[in-house]
Amino acid sequence: MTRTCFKMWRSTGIALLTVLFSMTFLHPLGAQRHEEQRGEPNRGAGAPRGRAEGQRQYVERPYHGSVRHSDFGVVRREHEDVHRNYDVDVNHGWGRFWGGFVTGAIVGALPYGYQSVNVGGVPYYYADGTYYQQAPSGGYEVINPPAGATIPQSPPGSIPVVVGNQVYYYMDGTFYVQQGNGYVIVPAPLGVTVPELPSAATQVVVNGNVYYQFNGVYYQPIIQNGVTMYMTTAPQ
Amino acid sequence: MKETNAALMRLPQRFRPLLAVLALLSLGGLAARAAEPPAGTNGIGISHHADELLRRTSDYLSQSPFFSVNAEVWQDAVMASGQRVQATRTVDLQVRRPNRLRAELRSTRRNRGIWYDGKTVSILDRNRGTYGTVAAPNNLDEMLDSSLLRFGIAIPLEDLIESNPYAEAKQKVSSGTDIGPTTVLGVPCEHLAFSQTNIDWQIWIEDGPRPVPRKIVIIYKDEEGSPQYTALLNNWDFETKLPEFVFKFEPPPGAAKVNVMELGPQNRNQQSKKEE
Repeated sequence: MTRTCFKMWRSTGIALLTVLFSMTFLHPLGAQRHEEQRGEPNRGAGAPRGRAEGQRQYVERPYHGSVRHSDFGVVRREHEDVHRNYDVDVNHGWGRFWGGFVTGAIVGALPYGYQSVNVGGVPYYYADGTYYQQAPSGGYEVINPPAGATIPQSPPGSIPVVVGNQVYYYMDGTFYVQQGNGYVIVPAPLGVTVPELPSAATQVVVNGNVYYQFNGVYYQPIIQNGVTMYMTTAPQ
Repeated sequence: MKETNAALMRLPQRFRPLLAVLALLSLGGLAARAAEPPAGTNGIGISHHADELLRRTSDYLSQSPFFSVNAEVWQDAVMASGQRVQATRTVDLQVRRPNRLRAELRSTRRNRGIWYDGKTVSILDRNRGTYGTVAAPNNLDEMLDSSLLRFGIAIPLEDLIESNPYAEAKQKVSSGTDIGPTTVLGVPCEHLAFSQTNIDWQIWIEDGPRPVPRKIVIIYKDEEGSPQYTALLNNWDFETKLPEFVFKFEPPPGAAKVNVMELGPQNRNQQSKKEE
């Protein structure tokens, strides 16, 4: 009697386990529906969400605010600090650090926390995005950022700008790239679009077209993604 | 328990496997029923009430020959430090079907206007003194697509502008629910929630004979931190006529005409992948 009962319950138990197994593993539609009910998106094969195996990726789209175009322009980026959401009315905290330095100004003492920078045997001093050189008359003169200068961190408030596979860190008219453990000033690449003009840029008109000029670089205003941006260019 | 066991024992031995199969089939049937859309839905997981309300709103907007509305938009943004903050702007929108639109977008940082006259879209950036004009198709739906897909110009509140918001939403929505009655800034509304692959969105529809949206929330659940977009809509006006001059762009003195850049190949590739 006891043995027969055991067999009965064993049969029923096996049947239940079979059903549970098939519901869990052999019913992809059910599994997908379950995932959607939890609010998880259907990622599709090879489409990571937020994080990829081995390497972190960040999902971003350039615009928010539309159901019609909610799938448009979705990018998976490698860099956490590169944001392509163009049409947002916020300052991103960039300009907060842009001192708006005045080339040629003389200061009596270097700012607290300055760093010494040597370019081709010439000593310079750097603090908060501004470069100084010892003035012949005493004190320190504010100079345009010298190409080749290397600083240990990207300047606070610099804007990451991606061109191909290269990330430039743009700050107030100066472009840095990461080299080893430092960030080195490089000549402004042509055709790069930046969201802010250098604070010391001046307007010039060439052949009837408006440009802005700073430190030998021309910036052409354009409308890109619905907002005014500035493209480094050679005036024509 | 003893009685159950005794009843089972009274069954002939050959029926016992059959009992196990029946149990399996019953449970399989239950599982299949669980996988079906819930009762009261339209077959793709949208409740009938939510479906009907969304359709009413869509019909009301698309059958209105013209309208004006103001919106306060709140949008999550990521600072350079990584901190998430909310940015805000106001939108004043005027639409005359089938092919006229005017929008003003204002914040403390930006002040822009968009004009669509059935032939061109012009955008004026007042703070930076620039404007640009591009050719546009002759109806609102195609203009919305062309502006964004070719030039990256996002027309604000475009889900209220397109000719059939219901059909557009229905193509993408996987589930929809009527959350229930509530108020938005004191206005009685019905709160609906919908889910799609990458976004969840909600809409608060005004009760009564004028089923206009009073609030829209979109949550981008595939993005880091699930940023949110919120639009509060007020001053709906379906009475004041919108004459032609409203949609005619006149560049202000001193504004510089600049090029409106087409999207680069990378964006075009993304779009073509989407269309595949």
